[in-house]
Amino acid sequence: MPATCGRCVERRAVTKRPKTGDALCKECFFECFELEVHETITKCELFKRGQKVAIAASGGKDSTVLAYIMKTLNDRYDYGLDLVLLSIDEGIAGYRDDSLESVKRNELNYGLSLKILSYKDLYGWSMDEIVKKVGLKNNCTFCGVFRRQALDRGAALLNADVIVTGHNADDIAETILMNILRGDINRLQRSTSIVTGNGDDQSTIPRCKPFKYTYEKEIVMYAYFKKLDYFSTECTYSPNSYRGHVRTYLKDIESIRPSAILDIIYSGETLAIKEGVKLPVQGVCSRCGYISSQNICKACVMLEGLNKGLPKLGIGKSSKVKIIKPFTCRKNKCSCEEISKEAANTNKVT
Amino acid sequence: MCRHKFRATIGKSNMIPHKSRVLVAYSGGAASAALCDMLLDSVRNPDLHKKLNLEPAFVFIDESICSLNDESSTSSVASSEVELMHCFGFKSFITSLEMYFEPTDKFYEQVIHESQVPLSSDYCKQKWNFVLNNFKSLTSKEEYIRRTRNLLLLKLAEKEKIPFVFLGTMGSRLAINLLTDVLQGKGNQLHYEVGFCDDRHEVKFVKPLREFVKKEIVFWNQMRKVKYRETQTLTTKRDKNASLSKLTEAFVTSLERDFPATVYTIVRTGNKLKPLEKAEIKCSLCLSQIDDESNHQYSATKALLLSEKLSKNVHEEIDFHTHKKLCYGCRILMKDSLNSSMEIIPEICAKSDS
Repeated sequence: MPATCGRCVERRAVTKRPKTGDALCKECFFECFELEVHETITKCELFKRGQKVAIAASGGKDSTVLAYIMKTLNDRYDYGLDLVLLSIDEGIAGYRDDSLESVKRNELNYGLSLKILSYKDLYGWSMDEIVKKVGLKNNCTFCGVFRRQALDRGAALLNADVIVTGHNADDIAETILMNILRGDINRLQRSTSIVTGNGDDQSTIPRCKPFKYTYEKEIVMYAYFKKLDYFSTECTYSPNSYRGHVRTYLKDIESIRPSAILDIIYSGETLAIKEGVKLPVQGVCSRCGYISSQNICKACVMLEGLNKGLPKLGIGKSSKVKIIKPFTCRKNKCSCEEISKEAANTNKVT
Repeated sequence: MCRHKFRATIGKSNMIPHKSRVLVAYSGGAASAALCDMLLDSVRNPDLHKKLNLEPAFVFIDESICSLNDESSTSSVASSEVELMHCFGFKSFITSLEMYFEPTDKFYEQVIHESQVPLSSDYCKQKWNFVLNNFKSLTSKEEYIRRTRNLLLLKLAEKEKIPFVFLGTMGSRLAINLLTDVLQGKGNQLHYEVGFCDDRHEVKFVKPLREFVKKEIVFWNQMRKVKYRETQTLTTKRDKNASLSKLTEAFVTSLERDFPATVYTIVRTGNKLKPLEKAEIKCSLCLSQIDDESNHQYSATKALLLSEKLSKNVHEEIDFHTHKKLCYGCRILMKDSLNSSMEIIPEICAKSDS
C-alpha cells in the first residue's frame, strides 16, 4: 500500500524528504521547498527592494532551479527584484556549449534576459586552450579562479547589485570539510556566511546563496517533479580531485545520517577563530583592480603565466611569485611597457 | 625523539605544576599503553634534568559491556591490564563503564592484588543497556560511550582529588575526532576536543600524545616491547559505513596515504579555534557551553526546525530542540533515540548534575 503524505494526510506520498525523512506528496513537497527558500531569503535579508539581481546560471540543476524559484518567489511574494541571468562560457567543447543551450531555453521560458561572457573574450584563453597548455592536472584551479572574476565582471557590466549562486547545503558542507582538511582558517570562516563580498569598501558586488540550507537531493527532486529543463553532465575535465574525495566522504556521511549536512553547517557557523591567528587581509589587485588577498590577484598571475608560456606559475603559492610587476603605464590590461622592456633585454642579450 | 616530543608537549603548555598528581586513563590499547610507558619512563628517569616530576596514578575502565557478545572473555581481558597496572607500582584504580550509573560513591576500587576483577552490578548493567539500546544508530552509541567515559573519569578524578587526567588520545585519533565532531554539529567545542587541555571542568583533561601520529606510537611500542591489545569497539567488525566515526577513520586513513600531512593539518586547524565566550549554561552530557541561539539571525538550527515543522505540519516546538540543558550536538544524539527519549534525558541530566 502506498504511503500517504504526512503533511496533508490525503494525497499519495511520492517522496521521502532527505532532510527530515518525512513522506510527502508532490504538492506538499513543492510548498515546503519554496517556503523554506523564501524563509531563508527573508530572514537573512538577502535582497532589498528594487535591486537588480544577477542569477549565475550554468544550465545545471542548481542554477536552473534557482532561476525558476527566484522568478516564482519574486512574483509570488513581490520582492520587487529585477532578475537577470548571467552565464560564463568557459569554452569547453562538449560540456559548456550544450549547457548554455539549456540556459538559452530557460531565458525564453522564464522571460529573463541573459548575458553570456566568455573566457575567450575576457582573458583571451578558452579552457580548451588552457588545458592544452596545462594538462589535465590542476586545470580546475584555472577555471575556478577565472570564473569567480568573470562573474564579478559580468555583474558589473549588467549593473547588478547582487549575484545569487546556486550553491546548496551539500556544497557548503563540502567546502567546510575541505577547508578543515587544508587548514584554511580564513576561508573556513568565510565559507559559511550566506552573503560574501559585502565589505565596507563596496568594491565588489555581494554574492549570496539562497540554497544554503537546501539539500542537493531536494533540488534534484524539485527539478525532476517540476520537469525543469536542465543539463546534467560532468565537466569533461573534472578529474578525481581532492574535492572528489571529500565529496564521496560527504555522500557516505549523508547515507549514515542525513541530518549531518546541516550539522556540519551548524558547526561551521559556530566555529570561532582564536585571536592572534594571522588572517590575510583582502585588498585589491594592483593590476586589474579586482578583489584579492595578494598584491596581484591569482587570475592575473595565472594569465601572465599562460601568456609567458609558464603555465605552472599560477598553481603554486601566489606570494612566492615575484616575476610579475604591476602594470604602471595605464589602468587597462596592456602590457606594452613590460613587453618593450623585455624586448629591449632580449635585444641586449642577442 | 619521542621522549623529547612527549616532554615538550607537557612542558610547553606550562600548565602542569611540578609534583602534580595525574590520573592516567589506561585502556590497554596501543596509544594509552604507550602513554603509560612514556610517562613511567620520564618519571623514573635517573637524570634529574630530564626527570618528569609528576605523581601518576592509573585507572582502567572495563568496557566489555559494549561488546556484549561473549561474556566469558570479560575477566580475561581485564585481568592482563590489571596485572600490568599492578606492576607499575603506583596507585591504580579499576571500574567498568556501566558503573557510571552507580548511585553511591562506591563506583570504583583501588587495585590491591593483580587478579582483581572490575567492579560491576546488575543494577548498573541493566541501566546501561537500557540507555544504550535506546540509541538507534551506532554513531550515537559510540558518541554516548565517549561522553560517559569522560564523565566517569571526571567523577573518579574529582573523588580522588586529582587535578589532571592524562588521556592517550594521539594526533591521528584527534583528527578523526575533530571531523566526527564537526559532522555532529559540535563545531564550537572543537577547541576542547583537540586542544592540549580540556578545561570545561575543574579537573583538566590533558592529551600529552596529541602530536604523535599512529605510526610513531606503533614504533615506540615495538621498540620498547610495550604490551598492548587491539581494543574492540562497537564497530570493530563492521564495514566502514557502520558509523560516522568509523567512516571518518577510513577517510582520514586513506587520505593520509596520498597526502601524508593530513593529520597534522587537521590538528593544526583545531589549534586555531577558540571556545565560545559566553559560558552561562553548560550541556549536561558533554559539559561544554551551550550556544545561545536566540541571537543568531538565521542558522542551520532554525532552517532544520522550519523544515521539520513544515513537513510534519505541526506548529508547536519539538521537545528536544527546546531542551535547554543540552548543546546542539547532544540534542542530535537524543533525537536519535527511540520513542522513550523523554525518559532518557532526565536520566542523563540527573546523573551529571549530582
